[in-house]
Amino acid sequence: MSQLWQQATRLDELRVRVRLVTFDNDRMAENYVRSSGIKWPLLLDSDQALYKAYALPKASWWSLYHPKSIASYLRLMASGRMPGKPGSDLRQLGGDVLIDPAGIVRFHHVSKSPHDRPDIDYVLSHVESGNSGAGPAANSVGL
Amino acid sequence: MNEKRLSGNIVGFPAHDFDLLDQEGVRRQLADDRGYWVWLVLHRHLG
Repeated sequence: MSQLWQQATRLDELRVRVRLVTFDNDRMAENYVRSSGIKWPLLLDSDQALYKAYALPKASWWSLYHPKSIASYLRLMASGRMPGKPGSDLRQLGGDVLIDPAGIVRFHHVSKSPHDRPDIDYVLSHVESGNSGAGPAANSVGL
Repeated sequence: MNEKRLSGNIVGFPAHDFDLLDQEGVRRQLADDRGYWVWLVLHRHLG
């Protein structure tokens, strides 16, 4: 998320508003906002309705403890940051949805593992195509 | 809506088809965001 926050100026220039969604409780959300320094709104979806609506699955236990996931945690710790206390649902995976100014979904990424995030430039290529009037770029990642 | 959701083929369909309006806080936020691109980042747990 910090990588995306570093693109805040570029996102503003492209008229993209980032809205974060979490199913964790308000105390965890406040802690996250305070510790991350990210200024985008963090929306609470405690019953995971949006996660269900956007077909975001639960991770298998194997993927949670896959060597790649363990390696990601180790890299995080090596960079001086510690993984926080787990939230309310360890297995719920995340995802990304890009909605155009007319309210049409233009990109949908379903994380396949805890550290699977879409490439920022790839997502923004949809915005740039749309803003230039060239129409949406090629379809997004499928399920 | 359910067929689209189950197939995972939601690109190109109105976001409002996917229950965004059922979430009051999200509905208000997206109303404020009208006319902008919106990138929804749905987090896994915040820990």
